[in-house]
Amino acid sequence: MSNICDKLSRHMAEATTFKSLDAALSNAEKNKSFYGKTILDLAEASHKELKREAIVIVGGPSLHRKNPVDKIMASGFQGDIITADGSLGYCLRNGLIPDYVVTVDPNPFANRIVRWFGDPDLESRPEDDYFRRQDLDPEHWKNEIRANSELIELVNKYGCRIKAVIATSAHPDVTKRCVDSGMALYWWNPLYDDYDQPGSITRRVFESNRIPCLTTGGNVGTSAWIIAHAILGRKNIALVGMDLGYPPGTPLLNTQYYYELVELLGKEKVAEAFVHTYNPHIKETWFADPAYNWYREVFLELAKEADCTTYNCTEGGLLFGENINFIPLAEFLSKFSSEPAVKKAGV
Amino acid sequence: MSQSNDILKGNYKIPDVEQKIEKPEDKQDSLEQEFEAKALKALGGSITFVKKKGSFIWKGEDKQ
Repeated sequence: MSNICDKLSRHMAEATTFKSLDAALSNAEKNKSFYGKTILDLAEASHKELKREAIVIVGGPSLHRKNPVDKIMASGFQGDIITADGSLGYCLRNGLIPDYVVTVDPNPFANRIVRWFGDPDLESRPEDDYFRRQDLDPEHWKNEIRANSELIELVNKYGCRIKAVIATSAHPDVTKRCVDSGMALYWWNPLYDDYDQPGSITRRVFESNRIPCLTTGGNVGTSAWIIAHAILGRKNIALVGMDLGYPPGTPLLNTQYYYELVELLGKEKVAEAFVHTYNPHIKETWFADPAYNWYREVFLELAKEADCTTYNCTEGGLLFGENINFIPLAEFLSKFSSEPAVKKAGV
Repeated sequence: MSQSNDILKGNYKIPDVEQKIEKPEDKQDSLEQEFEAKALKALGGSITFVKKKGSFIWKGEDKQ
């Protein structure tokens, strides 16, 4: 691994807390009037169901490259569909209404997360090339205003059929979009620190809102996977779009933290912040920045303790290793789909 | 410096000159550290991550 990437990865837990904690706590205060049901209500309902499988859909570049939704819908898969907020639009545009959407990011620097739900105030926001720059869905993001209008319409139309598994840290604009679109909200607190330590922030937040606290994994995709097994009790969980890396040939400018890395290291050294890893399952070398590298390490650590079998069906990326079954999506679907019918088409 | 402090025992404390005077290189180091801390903060992930062994969820039980 590159020394710089390794060094930065080791500081990511601390850096993430510095970045997100104040905003998360402030958002938790602002969201108070919306608190009602929690993830415990979800757990109670879901454990009565016979479903044992779930697919977690995350917004990595493999999502638009592999288009897993077509295969999922054609397979007649009857398990849960849990999407991270960033892939909600992809699901709805492709005719799949997820059972759950998970959101957690307090997004302290810019109001980006609400974009995943369609932002009614987009035209009055400051210029932001975050979505255009990244390897999301190039055709769709060509015209951001049109894409946003379409998403608002889709979320408003199907929101009432989707459960929002929303962290108290989420930006109030996100809360408002979920409520306005008719989603049922199920709240949780991110675990911020050790609740057994004196002065614990987690304990203070819990005592103020009595909402259960959950390990996050540092990002929404991992949080969605944790919700699938620790809350919904699903025993076989497939991941799609969970790359935690960039495909070979991706220009560094199109990586998520490019500007921040240039500011830290300078343009001439920025390439050293990335680590390149050969994935033997797909026979490709992908690369990760310190954040993705940290997410990967955290996921592999959590997978050791998860009470489920995890199938990474992304067919790309860098999330492979112990406790991860890296298999094609078709294999998972043939194992866990009962009938060849189109599921949840309705868009 | 500590040696001279021991010898000159008066009714006032001799300032530790070496510690008090800010050297130009110290100032530079501190600026760099501040810059790095700020940049590192921007690099952080989406949400704080901590793990307690044995469980992913905490429902507010008493302290162990």
